[in-house]
Amino acid sequence: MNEMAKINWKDTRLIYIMVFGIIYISSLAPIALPVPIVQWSKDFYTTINEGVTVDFNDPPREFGGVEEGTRVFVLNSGETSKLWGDMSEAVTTVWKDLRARGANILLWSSSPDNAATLNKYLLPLMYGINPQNHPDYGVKFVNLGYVAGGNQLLEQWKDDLIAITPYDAYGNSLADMPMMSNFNELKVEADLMIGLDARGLETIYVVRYNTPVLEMGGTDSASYLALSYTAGYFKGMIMGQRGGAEYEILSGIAGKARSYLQNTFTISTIMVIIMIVANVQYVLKKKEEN
Amino acid sequence: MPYLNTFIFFAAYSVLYKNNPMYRLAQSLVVGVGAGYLLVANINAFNRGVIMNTFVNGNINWAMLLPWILGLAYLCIFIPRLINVYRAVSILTLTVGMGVVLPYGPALFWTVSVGYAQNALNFLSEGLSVSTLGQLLTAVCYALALSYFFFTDYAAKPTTAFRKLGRVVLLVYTAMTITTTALGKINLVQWKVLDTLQGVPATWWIPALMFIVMLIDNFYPLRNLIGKGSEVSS
Amino acid sequence: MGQQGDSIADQILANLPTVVGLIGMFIIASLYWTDPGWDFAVTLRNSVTLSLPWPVGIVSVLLIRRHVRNIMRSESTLPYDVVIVGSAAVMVVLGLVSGPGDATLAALYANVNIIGTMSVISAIAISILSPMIRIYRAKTWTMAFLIGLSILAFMTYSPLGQMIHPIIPQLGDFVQIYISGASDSAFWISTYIGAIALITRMILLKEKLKPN
Repeated sequence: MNEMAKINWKDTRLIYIMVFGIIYISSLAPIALPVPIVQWSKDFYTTINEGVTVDFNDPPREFGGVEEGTRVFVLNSGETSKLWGDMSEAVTTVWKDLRARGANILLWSSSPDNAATLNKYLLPLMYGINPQNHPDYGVKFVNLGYVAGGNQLLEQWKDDLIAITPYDAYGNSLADMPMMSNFNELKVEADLMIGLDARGLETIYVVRYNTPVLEMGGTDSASYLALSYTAGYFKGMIMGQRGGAEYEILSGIAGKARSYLQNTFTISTIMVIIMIVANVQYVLKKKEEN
Repeated sequence: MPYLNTFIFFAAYSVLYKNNPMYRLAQSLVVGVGAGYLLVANINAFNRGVIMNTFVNGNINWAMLLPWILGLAYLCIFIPRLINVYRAVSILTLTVGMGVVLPYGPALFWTVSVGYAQNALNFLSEGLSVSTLGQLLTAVCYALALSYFFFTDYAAKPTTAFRKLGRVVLLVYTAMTITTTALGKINLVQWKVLDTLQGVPATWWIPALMFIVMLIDNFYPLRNLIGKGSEVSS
Repeated sequence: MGQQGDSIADQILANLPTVVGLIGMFIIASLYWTDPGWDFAVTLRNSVTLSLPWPVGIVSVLLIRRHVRNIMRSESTLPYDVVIVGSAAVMVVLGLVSGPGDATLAALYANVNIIGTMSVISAIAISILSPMIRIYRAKTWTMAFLIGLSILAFMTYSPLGQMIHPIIPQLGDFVQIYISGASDSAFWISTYIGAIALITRMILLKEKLKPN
């Protein structure tokens, strides 16, 4: 009895245990739940599937969707390493879709941790343990790896990528790779850019060169990225595991994202119930005191 | 490595229970491994960007001279007498960085403001709909939130009403962001939990074991074991 | 700041790093509007970018040096300092001996640093949910508003809202896109305006460009 008396039900550790309990139960027995598909996710898929027109400058740029040989520049330049657990399924499914459509994919990572994250979790899944030895390497996919410089680098690459970055992540000369023969002057030779939580593309590329840009981020990236989506600079965006589930439904590519929704559902339901009950109690108590 | 991966993830979490040696060990490993790797990655980045291009086909590439000079000048941070050289190169780097970013401010302000203003009037040409009403609301909220930051000092009083409404707009943003942050970060935990359950080899027993240890410690502090042990030895 | 009565030349000389910095800044900034740009400015910008690995790498060296000093002084954190310096040394040796592409190097980084950082970041969720449970009470109208919006966000970003009524996620998305988005724009643009205000103060020589 004395030992039991030690349990303090206001102890915040009980909250941690509850959250972990929910996550474990949701992970052990995931069930399919309805997924509302938001407009920005639909726009993301439509841009890849059908294309889009970007007309911030004259003449407008017509992008016809991703097909064989479309040059897609993927910028792994946001908080990917810290958000990977929230972005994993969306990035994986979109990458699978790009490959299935025959896109030429150029990947750049803005920091060593972002590069290492994709090296561990994405590239082995797509191209094996040594991506540089995959038959697609240099023809359909090139990995620039970590290159320092951020937006400064994007400013320079718009005119000539190989001049400033002559070698890929594995030390191979970019000039010798067939895929890079027409993928150098990014302002005109990148047909589509997909930012992984990337920021600053609007002012560097979109408004100046009509580059179509799509964005992928974590669940909490929505507010920031909405700025550029509502203003029309980003032609679509998908956020977090929910975005991954939406893309799985839209593209028909099977993935794991939908199982995350049960966890989100359970946590959200419990939080909503707790907040409502606690506040009703609070209001009733206050009325009694008055 | 999967065992190490799971241990680090949940050992870092154990700080939520209390500051403990498991957490401190994980923290130290994260800092040490990160610092070492960052150094190696940047040596590699300089190698690929500059060193490999310094001599091309036996000829010196003069364009690489300045990056070499700048890089070596940074080393003056370790030589107190030459600290001004380090300061000069820092100012140069800062200058270039700010020079690149400087145009983005006016460019973004102009493009976003013009975009919002144009879209706000879409309801006149396209009629009233959720989308056109939303675009009108966006323009209004944008102006209100800007007024909160923009009008200070002597301009604060005449704009009180706008700034108060601006605060409401920012409150909406805060509330939505706090919740989406929580949900986004919870996904990270579930991602790792799924990994412990479905990964090969399964490592779910590591956090389970840690939980049992913490549970025992809660009722019978494990520090007592060390204390009693030292008493015996003394 | 110059003394009262100083000539403009004296003031400029006293603030030479700031003046030179400002001129350099505007030269680099001019590249945004010029295509392909002035050769000197392009060379300077490219060279600075190429030299960036140095300052980033030096940050690591300074961090490791701090812990080496702790070891030499036998601080109370000695075992942890040894772990930090030891693990950093292992990584550097592995990188220098086997190359940056070494599998063990990459595996150690991914399985220690990346996952550890992700763990700390994910703990933010618990730090948010905990006060939501304990102290989110409608004590004021502002707080009531905050709670209402939080409930809306929970319903929008999980299937819960859709299961109750499709209008709920639609409303949540509307708030997120049109109000939060606008607010976020204002926040970022204000930051840029602040930066421009700072530069304006530098032009007036009221702020100095001086690293520590």
